[in-house]
Amino acid sequence: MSDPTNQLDIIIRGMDSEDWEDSAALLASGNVAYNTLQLPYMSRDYIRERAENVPRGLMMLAAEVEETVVGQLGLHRQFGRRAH
Amino acid sequence: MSDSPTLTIRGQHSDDWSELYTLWSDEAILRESLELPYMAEDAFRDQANTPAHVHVLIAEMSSLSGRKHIIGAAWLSANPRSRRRHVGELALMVRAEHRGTEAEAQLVDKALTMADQWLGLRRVEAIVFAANEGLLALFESKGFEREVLMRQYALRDGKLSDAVQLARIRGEA
Repeated sequence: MSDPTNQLDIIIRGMDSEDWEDSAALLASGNVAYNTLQLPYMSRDYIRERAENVPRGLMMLAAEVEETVVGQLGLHRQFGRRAH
Repeated sequence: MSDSPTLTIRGQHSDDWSELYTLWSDEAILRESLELPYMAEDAFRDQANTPAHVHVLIAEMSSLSGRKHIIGAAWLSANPRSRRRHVGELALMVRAEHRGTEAEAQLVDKALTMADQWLGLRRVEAIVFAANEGLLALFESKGFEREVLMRQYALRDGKLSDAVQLARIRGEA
């Protein structure tokens, strides 16, 4: 809307646990699982549980288009002698 | 036959933790690891309860008098992720005075036998500081190949030090 050079309004934001259904759909789409270390046929309960229990040091970002999360990433922080 | 001390490679005992704690208080050991000094003793004791996918091999020397002491250990962690079940990671810690010895080489051999013959692993990975030439040479002599140089991998001696990722593919060595 606001940017004429880009058809999509993209919002990059922190991921919420409520995003878990989008996350499950994302993982089931196209070749997403293929290019990760995830497996197909993952239980939705497992995906939900994982979204609700993000470990310390893991920051999850979501890319949202038209109120749907279309991409996500995790930034894993290291500790101790690898904190840099 | 000889009066030289004998080496035993064995599994971990629940009362090993205090001797392992001493090992982890040794600066030469700490330096090649990712651990920090001044580890809390009780935190360490809890940590010694290793998860089922981590196999610990203890290298113990016994003298003729029957005195035993741990000179090093190997940790072979089987990757728990489904698509990486064929992968293990080997970490080795040996006291400085026993590095480059037959004891250290035997510890690696036993860990690799565990990987090949018991766990059926295809790929064993190891990460070694680039300056730790002795250990790099040992791993290479056991079929590991250098894959990646990881720059500024971790603090070692106060410096951000490079590390080498190695891997050994079973059947290719």
